Amino acid sequence: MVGLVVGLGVGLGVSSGGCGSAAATEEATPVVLGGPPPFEVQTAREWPTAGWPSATPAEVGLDPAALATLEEYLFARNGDDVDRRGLRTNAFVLIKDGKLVAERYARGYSAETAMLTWSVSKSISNTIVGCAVHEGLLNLSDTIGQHYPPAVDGGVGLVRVTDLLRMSSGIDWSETYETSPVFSSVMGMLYTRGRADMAAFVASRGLAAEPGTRWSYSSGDTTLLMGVLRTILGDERNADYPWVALFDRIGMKTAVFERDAAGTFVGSSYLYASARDLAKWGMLLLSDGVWEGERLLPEGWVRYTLTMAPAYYDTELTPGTVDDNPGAQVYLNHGDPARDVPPPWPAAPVDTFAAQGHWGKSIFVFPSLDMIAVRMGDDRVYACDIPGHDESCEPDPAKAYSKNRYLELLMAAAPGAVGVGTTPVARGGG
Amino acid sequence: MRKVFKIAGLVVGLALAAAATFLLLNWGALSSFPALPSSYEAKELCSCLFVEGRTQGECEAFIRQEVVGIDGRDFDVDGKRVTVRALWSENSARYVSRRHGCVLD
Repeated sequence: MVGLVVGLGVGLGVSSGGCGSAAATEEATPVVLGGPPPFEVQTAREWPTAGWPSATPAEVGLDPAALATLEEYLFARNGDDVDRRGLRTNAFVLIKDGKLVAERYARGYSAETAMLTWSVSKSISNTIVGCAVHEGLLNLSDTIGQHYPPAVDGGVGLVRVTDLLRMSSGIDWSETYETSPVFSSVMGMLYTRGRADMAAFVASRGLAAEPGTRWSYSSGDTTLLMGVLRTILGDERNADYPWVALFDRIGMKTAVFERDAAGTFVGSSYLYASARDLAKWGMLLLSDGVWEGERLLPEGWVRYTLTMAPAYYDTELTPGTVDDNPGAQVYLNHGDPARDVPPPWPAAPVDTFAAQGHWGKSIFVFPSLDMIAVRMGDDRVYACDIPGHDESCEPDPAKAYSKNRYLELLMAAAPGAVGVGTTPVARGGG
Repeated sequence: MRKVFKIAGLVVGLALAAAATFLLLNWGALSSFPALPSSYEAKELCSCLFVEGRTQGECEAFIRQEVVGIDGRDFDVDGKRVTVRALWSENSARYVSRRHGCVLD
């Protein structure tokens, strides 16, 4: 009897204290933009704003037979909607030397469909923010407390714009999806507790680590940044800003960008666009942020974007994160030689970067090959060759989407690609 | 005999303390969970139908999950709104514009 009362008393008496850094951070080194991207910039172009110019694979030096093998792999099984196994490719678009050389759709999708991109949205959000930085609306080293009143308390106000872009905010966050939804912060942000004002929800989480010190994949960081942008722009200007700044200028006519009820663009998750339009984003980065002779992004923005988040090197890696190689809202292929971590895409050149989204969506950009590959899928079961994937993975690589297999087949279609720029990048290199 | 009851009481007491602590620390997540299936479905069905332009059957197949039973889905095609009921919750999303797609109420 005594034990029962004591137990109840202890349980009810516990208060959940917040965990957060109350100590003032030392002045962080300002991030200075500048310098060329880590690849040869493409300048002489027939710009695809109104539509991609086309060419045959042979005309751009691609092997048609190898491309056919790649397409066969991607479209071999349009996985039925009952068991959802197999590769479920909706769209594939390949751009080489600035020309559309391959394109195919399935499962009812077409060249005009604005497709859900999930986290590919994050990479396009990087670029919208880059346009805002170029206009002088905000700077990488700004703290969000300078712009976003809800974030002043609890240390979150000290998070800098660059910390959000590099997913190194330190904000307390749980990024899990349908396999572990109950305590997921991202599910709470998108659908329940946070959905009315997602940026405020993220800011309310408080800090679990000092800003800039810990890398942790977070949809919250991206969407909070879009909330900061909304506050800077004001509601009226914010509503059309992605179109004025980016979509209209590079011809992403199919783009749809959903917002929360407060008006913040859900930069982590809700961009919809056609595969052809998504490739245009890749082209903008290959051109160092210049489009038809006009600079949309600051000089050095692409270089910054393709630099590994410094906090990643200080963050303990798990099987699920060892392949993540984060730039600023993009994935890189550098590896970490100091920790014996090989590049995540060994088949591809080391300067390859990508936007990637849940259930098999990706924009892969290969600067040394002047090639962009967009593959939009709806895969629910992955191949067992992905580290960290152990729930009902598919052991037969021909029966599930394997990123490595996709890249191998893609490289086989680009003769001379194998071995191109495969030396791992040392820390601090870009 | 009294000692056995005492120990049993202590064990039960500790278990209750653990449960109460767990609930307190995670109340936000736990109390909002029932709204999750219907919210997720309402928002993603709306976008699938009105942004991607897919059929109702394709969209229902897209959002289908086997964990939580769905009590009902209402498709208001003219009003461009989807309402879903599950786990004692009802949630609705509507298509607001060509540029901005769907948003949960």
